[in-house]
Amino acid sequence: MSQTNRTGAHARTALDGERADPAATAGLGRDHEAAADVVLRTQALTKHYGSTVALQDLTIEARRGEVLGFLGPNGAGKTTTIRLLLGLIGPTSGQAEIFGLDVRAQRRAVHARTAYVPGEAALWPSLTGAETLHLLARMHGRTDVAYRDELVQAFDFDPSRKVRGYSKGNKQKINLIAALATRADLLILDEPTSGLDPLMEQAFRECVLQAKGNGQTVFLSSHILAEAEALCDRVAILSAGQLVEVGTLAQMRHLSALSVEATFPGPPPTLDQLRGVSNVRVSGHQLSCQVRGPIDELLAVLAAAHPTTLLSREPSLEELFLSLYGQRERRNHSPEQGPDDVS
Amino acid sequence: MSASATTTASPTTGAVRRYRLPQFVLAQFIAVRALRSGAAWGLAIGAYIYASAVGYRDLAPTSAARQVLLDSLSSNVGLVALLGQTPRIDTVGVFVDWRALGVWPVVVSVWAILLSTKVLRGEESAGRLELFLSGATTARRAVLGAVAGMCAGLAAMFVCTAVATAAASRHTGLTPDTGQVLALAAVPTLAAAVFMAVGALSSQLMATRARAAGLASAVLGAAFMLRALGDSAPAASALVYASPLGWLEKVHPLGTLSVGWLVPVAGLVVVLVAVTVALAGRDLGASTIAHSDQAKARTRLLGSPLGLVLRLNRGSLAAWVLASVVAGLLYGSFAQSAGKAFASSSVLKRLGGDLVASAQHAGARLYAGVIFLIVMTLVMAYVASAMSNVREQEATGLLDNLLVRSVRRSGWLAGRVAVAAVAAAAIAVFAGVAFWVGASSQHSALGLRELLLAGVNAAAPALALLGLLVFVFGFVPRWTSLVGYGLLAWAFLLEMLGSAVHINHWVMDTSLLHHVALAPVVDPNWRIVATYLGAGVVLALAGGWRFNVRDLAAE
Repeated sequence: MSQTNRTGAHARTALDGERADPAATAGLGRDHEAAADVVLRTQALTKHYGSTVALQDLTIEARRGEVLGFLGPNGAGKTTTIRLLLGLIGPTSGQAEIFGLDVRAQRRAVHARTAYVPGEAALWPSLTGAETLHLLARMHGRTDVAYRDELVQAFDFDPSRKVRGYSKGNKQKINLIAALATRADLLILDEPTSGLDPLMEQAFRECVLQAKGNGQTVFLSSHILAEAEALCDRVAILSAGQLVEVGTLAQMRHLSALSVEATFPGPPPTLDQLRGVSNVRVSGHQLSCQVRGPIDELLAVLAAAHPTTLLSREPSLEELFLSLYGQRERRNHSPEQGPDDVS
Repeated sequence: MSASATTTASPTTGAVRRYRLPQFVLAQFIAVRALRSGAAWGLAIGAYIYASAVGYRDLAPTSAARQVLLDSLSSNVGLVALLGQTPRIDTVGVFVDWRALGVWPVVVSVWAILLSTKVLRGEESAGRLELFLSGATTARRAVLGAVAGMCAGLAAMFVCTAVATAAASRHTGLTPDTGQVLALAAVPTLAAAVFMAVGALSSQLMATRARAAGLASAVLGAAFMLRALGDSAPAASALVYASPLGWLEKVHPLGTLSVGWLVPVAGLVVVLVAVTVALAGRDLGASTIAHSDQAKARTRLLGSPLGLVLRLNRGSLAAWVLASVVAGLLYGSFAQSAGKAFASSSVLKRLGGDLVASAQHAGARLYAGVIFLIVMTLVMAYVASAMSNVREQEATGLLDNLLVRSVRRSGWLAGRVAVAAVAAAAIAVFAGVAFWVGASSQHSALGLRELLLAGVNAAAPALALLGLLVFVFGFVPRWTSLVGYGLLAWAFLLEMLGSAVHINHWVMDTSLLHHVALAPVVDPNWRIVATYLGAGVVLALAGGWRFNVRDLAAE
């Protein structure tokens, strides 16, 4: 893993919410512009519960108009991070800022510009859907009523029923509609599509892309990798409370292998001696393999055998995730390497 | 559990452990929890019986003293309404029988209602019952399992009451035989069983736990009123037979034992459980009494955290105030006749305990003082329940949903505490005013001002408890309910025991009720009231500060 990716791809100068000085040098100017665009930033954010490490030294940034995916297996520390960002819990050490404001000391100012969707909807069972939407809007302090009505239609939501009568998916729709209708500058979404059917998931994706188009920043915690792949500009992968990787999909794909499948008129060629090639499988006249690094040597061997079909595919986010997580697990269990070698 | 598991080998899937059927697991799960509280109630009843027996021995050691006691009690309409019809009190057993079994069946019935509606409707609403019903069982079997689990709590109460009574009798001059001890333990246990069954049935009838508990509480209130009216009004004496509490009153375990009255009570329990099981075949989440989930949006009060508290709790607030007014009117209307009895009996004055021993006024004021002691306890119960609800908002994540918006932690907590404080004061003051209205209707000399001040005085321990619970909520949130109800039970127990037996003053000092003047018997001690309020405010501020900076703590 590259150190650049490990600590975030963007400049981490002090945030003051102002645009960069145009008279500054080009390099410094770019740094200032990037800093001004940073909406969310954590610096060595750490949370311990007694001897349990929930989050360790998380350093990450999200820019304005960006959809940042936050991925990790169960118990990786995703929800802890979100609760820290929202000021619901305090860090053991480190810092978190949103809009340049300390999330703990200035949480009310942060919340005024932030909307949050929890993974598990805790709502008041005796209120109706409409009453709950009204309540949540009033508690937030702002809402786009016309857009809220549009969202009610888009999510096919019946607001006349009491919350106790809603399914899990419908309760989640209330949280989503309430959050999106605020048109907040930052949307923090924790497993937002939990309980939604595929049609509603599609509606959600459209809403997120629309929010991104409006310049809103989205911090999306999810374990639905297809969703993250479809929506996220960058993804951060968390494991056991530590950041494993952060970057764009393109940046991360070089870390994993390319899948290649080919069909030949006769027996496929032998690839045993080729550098970077692994997982070679032969089935009749078909061959599949994975290649890491330069592919010219492989292509030359395949071309010499006159393939009738040739397909190459970049690794999906799921494959990247499994690959990264698998590497980390293997390293953690390797007797030669301690945990420090992982990062 | 593991002892009951069997292991079978499967050629394809390996070893498969087989456990008991879900209804048995459910019964065991509930039994473990019910056993503890049932046993605690049994021990508390036993302690109360011990204290009553010792108190009687000291108060009426001679037959002449007993005669005075009997005359005083039999003419005291208020006490008869409160505790039940007085039999001829000529032995310590009869006195204990009347005093203990007038109070405890009602107290444990409230516990039974809360337990059964939580188990049979609360768990269903929370979605946890589904986990059991997805196993190899049916809804009816699950309900039977839950009832069986709760019966374990009743059994613990029965055993502990019987053992504690038998132990207490060795030191107090009580000489009950085994049958009497068992009958005495059976009375509160069967009262709890009846209202556990009422709670179970109302959990089938109503769609939410709050409604189920409300219906069951209304049935308990009606049963108590029927018994009270039947006992206190000769023309309506037949009403006693319309209430299971009236049937239990007729048992007289330590007097002229009439064990036959236990049979209809047990029969009623069986019928109620059978109807409950029959109705349990409904759809999960549904209720026998149709309850529409469709409603027109009413957004009034939904504009602020304070408004939300009022909106969500207006029903229970109204119920508390209404109950205080009705009880005040009822017991106020007995003030005149009760006062005459109190005034004529030096023995009864002593029965009230040390707090009233220094009282310069007799009669109706003494009776009103006893009633306001009960009001203090009830207002403390309200405060404990309100703060328990505050903690629940945090534990269930509902608070998260507000605090991630533009809601201040301090503002939210201040609103909740303010509502609880105002409601506690209102309950106590309304009880005072209603008591005056009732007393005035019977031409009692009790004045509005002194009863109003007695109401204010009665709110003081509750407000101190409120401050203390805010402190606990701030520093150790998970202990809020435990400390609230624990201190309430402790204070109640000490006042009950302390009125009959000598308890070390250091122990008595730990009761929030002990320091408060028993107005209107004596004038309120404003220094104590101010100290309570000051301590409450300081503790609340400290708790509020801590809440503002601490991590939110989920369940």
